[in-house]
Amino acid sequence: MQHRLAATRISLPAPAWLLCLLLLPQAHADDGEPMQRMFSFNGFGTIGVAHSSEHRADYTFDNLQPNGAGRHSDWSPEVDTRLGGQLTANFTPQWSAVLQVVSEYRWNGTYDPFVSWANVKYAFTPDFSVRAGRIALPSFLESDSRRVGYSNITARPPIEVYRLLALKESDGVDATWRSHFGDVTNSTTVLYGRRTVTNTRGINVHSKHVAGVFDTLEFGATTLHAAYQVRDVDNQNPPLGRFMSLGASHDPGAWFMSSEWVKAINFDGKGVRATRQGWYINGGARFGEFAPYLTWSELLPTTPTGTLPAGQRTVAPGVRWDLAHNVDLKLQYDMVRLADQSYGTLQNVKPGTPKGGRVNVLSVVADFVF
Amino acid sequence: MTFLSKPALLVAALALAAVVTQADVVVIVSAHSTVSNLTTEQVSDLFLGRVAFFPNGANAVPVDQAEGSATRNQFYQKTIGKAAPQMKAYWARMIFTGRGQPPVEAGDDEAVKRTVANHPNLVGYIDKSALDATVKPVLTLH
Repeated sequence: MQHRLAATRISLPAPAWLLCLLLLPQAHADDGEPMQRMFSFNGFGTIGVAHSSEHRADYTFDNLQPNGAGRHSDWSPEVDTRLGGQLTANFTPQWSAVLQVVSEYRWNGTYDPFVSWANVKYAFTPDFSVRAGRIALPSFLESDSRRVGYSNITARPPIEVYRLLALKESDGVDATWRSHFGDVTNSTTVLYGRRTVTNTRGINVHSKHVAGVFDTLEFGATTLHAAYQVRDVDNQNPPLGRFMSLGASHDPGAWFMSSEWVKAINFDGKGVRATRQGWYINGGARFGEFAPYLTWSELLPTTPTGTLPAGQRTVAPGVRWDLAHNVDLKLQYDMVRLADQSYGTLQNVKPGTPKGGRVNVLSVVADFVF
Repeated sequence: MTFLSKPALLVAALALAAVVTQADVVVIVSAHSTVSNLTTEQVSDLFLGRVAFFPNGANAVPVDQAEGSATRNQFYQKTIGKAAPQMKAYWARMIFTGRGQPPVEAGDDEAVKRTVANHPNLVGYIDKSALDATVKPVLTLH
């Protein structure tokens, strides 16, 4: 029931949502204790261009972007550029709500804004809360903040890993328990929902009964993350998609590193099972405003199929420069090695293009938050 | 500048450096609070929004100094090891994933001290030189 209620809520147009939020009574403190503001508006964005050495195919972030760098654009703004705005409402210490609208390059070649987050949260205690509405899936270490470039070190999450799950959010409910053991904080989330994603051919892919369990363990500068999720997908036969991931990061300030391994098991329309694995390791150091880094990432198809994307490996050095208050600039050079007899993750490949080989992608992005 | 000898300049620079590095930051609670001390790890968890309670089980609410304050930058450098842009990036991730919001900002040393003194559930930090009997130091960061 709660699920259905949430679905009704998020189908309201954004202005109606805002109006509902503004009409609710204001919380205020009588004793002058500092409190979170009832409403806060925050925004984030990225302006970026990517240039690929391969002009017969497109380099894209994932398979929901119809065009990218290379064949379609010499210097492509499509891959990384986006703008997001978020309204957070703290009605009481228990009740809060989040509405996030994002404009980014979409399946239909437009930047039409869409609602990426819209949920209401009730915190029974500071350590136990439930949410209903549109919720980002915490499938990866950084998946729920992958659009917020400023919060990440690299220009974009490693595509070999992060493209293995196109489903980024779910409409439904989740519950999070947080527990403490000494200086260790563990958060466990269980989620249930559904979501329709439109692919670049304009086909609506319906994911139903999306269920997942996600765990994050934080200890000082160390974070460990694990996820397992299943869903019914109507473009697969049988309609079952499974996804699991393990990740770890350590960031004591002067240096940082993170690593993640994911496995996605899907079927195509003809019943052929496709198991894909991806992993990356990223590390770097901070020298004042500059943080040079290196990422090694790999996509390994463990079952050979003719139609699904095959393997590739990327070595990507880059640097993040925190050049001004709330603004960073990143320069990244992706050296992509396509697996033999495959185009890797390249899209819109011009007929006759030789398979395998190398592609280099230069990216310049500026991220900001406000 | 020519009227100052090189050794005098050096001494002045060293004295200045000493003053800058000696400025200890103290984590404070109200003098009425039952909390008597906290570890660096406990303070870090409170200010990262991971923990919302003092070790004795009482509700804990962190208050920040204003953005750009030297005391604030030292506090985060000495507890979590992060400079202001990294803390901003951390909170951007928390805000835009609906997981939390940064501590409320209460102002400078004096404002934080006043606010914390009046509310036993608050925890703040000030420059050691601003310490007085209205608040209790629970951790000194050198």
